Amino acid sequence: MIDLKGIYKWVNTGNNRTFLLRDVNLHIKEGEFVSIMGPSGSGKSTLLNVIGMLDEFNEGEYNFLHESVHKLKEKQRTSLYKQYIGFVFQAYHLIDELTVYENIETPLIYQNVKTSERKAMVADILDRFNIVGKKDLFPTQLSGGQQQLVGIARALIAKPKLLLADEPTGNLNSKQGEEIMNLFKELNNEGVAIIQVTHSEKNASYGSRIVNLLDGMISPLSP
Amino acid sequence: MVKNYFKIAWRNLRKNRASALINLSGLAIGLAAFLLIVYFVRYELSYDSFLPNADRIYRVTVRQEENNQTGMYSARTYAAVSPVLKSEIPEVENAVRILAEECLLHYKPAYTKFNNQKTYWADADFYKLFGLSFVEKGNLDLLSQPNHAIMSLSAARRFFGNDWSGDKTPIGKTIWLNEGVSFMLQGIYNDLPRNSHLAADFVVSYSTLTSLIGPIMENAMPPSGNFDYNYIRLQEGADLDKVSKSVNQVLLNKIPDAQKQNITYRFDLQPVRSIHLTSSIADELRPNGNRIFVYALAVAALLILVIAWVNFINLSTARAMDRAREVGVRKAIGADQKQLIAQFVTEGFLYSIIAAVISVLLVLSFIRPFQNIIGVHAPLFSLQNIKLWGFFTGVVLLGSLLSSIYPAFVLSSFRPVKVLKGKLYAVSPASGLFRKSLITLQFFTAILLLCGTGAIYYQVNYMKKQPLGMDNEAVLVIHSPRSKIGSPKRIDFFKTFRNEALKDPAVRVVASSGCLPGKEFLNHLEDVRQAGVETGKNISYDLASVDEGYLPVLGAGIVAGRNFSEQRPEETSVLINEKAVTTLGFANAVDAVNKRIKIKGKEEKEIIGVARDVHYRGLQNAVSPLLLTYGHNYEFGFFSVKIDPAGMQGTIERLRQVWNKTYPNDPFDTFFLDSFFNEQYNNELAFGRMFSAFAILGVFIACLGLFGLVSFTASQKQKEIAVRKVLGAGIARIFILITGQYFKYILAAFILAVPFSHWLINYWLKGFSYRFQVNWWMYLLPVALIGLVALIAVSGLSLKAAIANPVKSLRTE
Repeated sequence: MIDLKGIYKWVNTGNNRTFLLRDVNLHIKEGEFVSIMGPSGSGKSTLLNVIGMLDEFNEGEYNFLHESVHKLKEKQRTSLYKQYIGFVFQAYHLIDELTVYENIETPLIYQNVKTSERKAMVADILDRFNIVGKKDLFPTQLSGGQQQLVGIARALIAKPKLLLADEPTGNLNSKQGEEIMNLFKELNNEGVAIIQVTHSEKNASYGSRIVNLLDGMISPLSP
Repeated sequence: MVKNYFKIAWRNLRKNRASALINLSGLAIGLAAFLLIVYFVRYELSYDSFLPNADRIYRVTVRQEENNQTGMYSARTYAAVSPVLKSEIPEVENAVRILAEECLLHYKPAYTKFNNQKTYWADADFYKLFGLSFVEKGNLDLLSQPNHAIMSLSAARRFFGNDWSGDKTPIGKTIWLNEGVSFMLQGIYNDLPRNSHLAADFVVSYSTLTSLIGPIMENAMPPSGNFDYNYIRLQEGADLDKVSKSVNQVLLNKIPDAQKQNITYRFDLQPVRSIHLTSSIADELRPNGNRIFVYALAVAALLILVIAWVNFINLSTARAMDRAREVGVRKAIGADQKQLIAQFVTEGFLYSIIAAVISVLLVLSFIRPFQNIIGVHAPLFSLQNIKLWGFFTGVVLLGSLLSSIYPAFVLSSFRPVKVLKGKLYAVSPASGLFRKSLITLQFFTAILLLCGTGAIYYQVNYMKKQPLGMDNEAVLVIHSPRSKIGSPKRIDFFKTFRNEALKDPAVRVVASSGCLPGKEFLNHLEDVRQAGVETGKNISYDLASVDEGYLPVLGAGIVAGRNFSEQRPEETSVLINEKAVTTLGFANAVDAVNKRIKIKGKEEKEIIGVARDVHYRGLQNAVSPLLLTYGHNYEFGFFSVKIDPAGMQGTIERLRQVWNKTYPNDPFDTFFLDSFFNEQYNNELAFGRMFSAFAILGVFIACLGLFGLVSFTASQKQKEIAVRKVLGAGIARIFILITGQYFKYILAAFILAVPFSHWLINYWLKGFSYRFQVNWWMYLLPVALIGLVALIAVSGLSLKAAIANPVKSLRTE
């Protein structure tokens, strides 16, 4: 599904070149549940953003479902991304002006899904996540765990093949975190590939594989 | 999707009420000002456009020149002009004469009478040329014969009420004019629109004039007087230059050679639609508009609109900071740039539409006072104004699109990764140069408007305070009794009235005159020279006949010689003013007394005295040379009464009783001379009020923009401010950090605007014969005022940012 070959990413500061990613080679199959781990500043989030096409890289090849991402134009990349990828953030990043229902609905709007279809899809996912009663509330009226639940629902609404999560439980207490991870496990069992960035060994253990990152390089310890 | 965009826009607007309020009020005020000005400018430009084939109708004007000096330049020409042009120039399709006066009209069966009714003695084709539409019609063909007339609907309602059924129809009824010339009504026409240089209550057949006075009313050419307005309509496709040449040729042929020896005549064709704004020559039918003001306001409207909208851009973009995260999130969940642009443009539209609605509400609440100031009462919502609203809608839509596209691009171009990580993007609300020139332009305009306002007020005050050569306070003027025109006994009636009135101790002087300060002279004379000295300039002299009470009523002194006297024969006497002493070429006033002058090469008069110069016209104009002859005016006259300022109400009531005894058939129609005189400054005053209103708006909107930019800077520099404070910077320093850069541009605006205002004001003042001395401190005041207001506008905000606890903003990193 994902094939990264010799990915480099750097920033220039004065005469120095600082490498964020250095010769990253990674292959991820469909339906895999991968955890990216490593110390702060090791490039975990950068790697996730590159995979999620939110960030660009300077060198290397990236193939996503047989499309060469490095060769695509911005527009094509956006449409590829829209169709296959859902993103979950540590800080939830819900849109404060929109209700729970509308937050979840928005990705469908961007994909020009018809109103009636949208209604059905949002109703389904609200039901599944047990948040039907909260649908008319605004994000600020929810707890952190509930917000993250909405965030995940929003990421899943368009039925992506890949869910990217950047420390999804970082702002949650352990009980809430556990619930989220169980949900991830469940989703993975249904066939959604998941890549998560995490600090927690415990969270990583929900996944099937761990990628260790150090100074922008995949450490040889990774299986 | 659009519904969704609107929903978000609306929620955003409600969430950020304060900034939305600034943004919307600036735009709404700008739009309202724009709409009001466009309403006014359109009205001024629309004069006479209702006339059928307006582009082919011209008024003939005449200019007399001698030695390259214009002696007379008048809208009135000679009675022969129309018939001659119509018969001798094939391109002239139709031609009509008008002789205009204000008359007393009465309808005897109902005892209704009205004074000062605008009456046109006009050729039969008047109603055709000016496209009158009739409510009631008799036989219009009879208008070519004496004693037939048509009347405007509003006048007809005054005379005949509203019920015109059956026998009550006005058609065929007889209306008596002044002393009793009768006219049979052949038609009632819809009033001419107010945006016309013509205004007539009553149009009577021109041939009546010929039958009353004689063939001179048909074939007058110089040296006869110019009393008729002549309008011609050219054939379609006629070559104006060619026709102009033929007009001059044909008309000059009709002027006797003797008349042409010293003087050249030139006839011009004025397009009828241009009369209101560009003519302003002698003897206009109605006071013309001021095109400098109209154009200045049009430019001001445009500037205010641009400023309001660029403010909108700046404020929207400055708010981008708050929206950055939202943009990031939206991109992360699949929005592409096009969709985001659509969202923000929709938001821009929503704001613009709300602002437009508020602006229309503002306009509706201020339209009455505004109309009173500008003296325009055209309805705001009407078929004629459909273009105005179409234009306004177009401007709103186009403006909202243009002004939202820039912020939309800025906002939608955020890279999601960066904003989601909480890195605040260094967005400038507009590119550097753009922003700088904008703020400079805003304050430039504000200063210009404010300096202009100041200049108008200084000038009007200056004019009002100038000595006028007379004491026009407590002078009550009565329109002379029209029913006695032509009566040989009219002088006896006047004397009866005068002597009765003078029995009242509060009445000091009573006079009768054909002229009045503040009233345009009906008669002018050219070719006036010292007898025996045939050279000398050909200048236009004001001419009127007055009695011995006239100069005393005005408190205008005699410089040399004597006033008229009831006891002497004064048929050949003339009084001149000081200005005429110079123009006639006398050494001084004493020198002029007892000398003789020769008028048009024949008639001689003896100068019996020199009166002090009195301002008859507003101080926009210089004093003209004046000739006063002795006589009880024939018509169009005024009775002036100097009364004791104490107990005026009672005095006027007693005067009314005396009047009603002497003139039972004439209304006691009065006004005060001083306020009548000052009406000449109404135009300037109205524009002064308008300018000051728009100047205040300009300053307000400019400060709003400044406020928005400073709030942007304050939030953008939050971290810098915090770090500086931690390092020990004082509040004053921080304040300068935030506001300093903007005040630099305001200063630049000052430096640019002051010389430009100075140039403009001096240009404008050239139109005044008497003008105030422009001083440098007159510019200092508006500049200081704007500086102060701007400082107040931003200081609260800057101080808040400067005082804020630095820990708070540092913690976010």
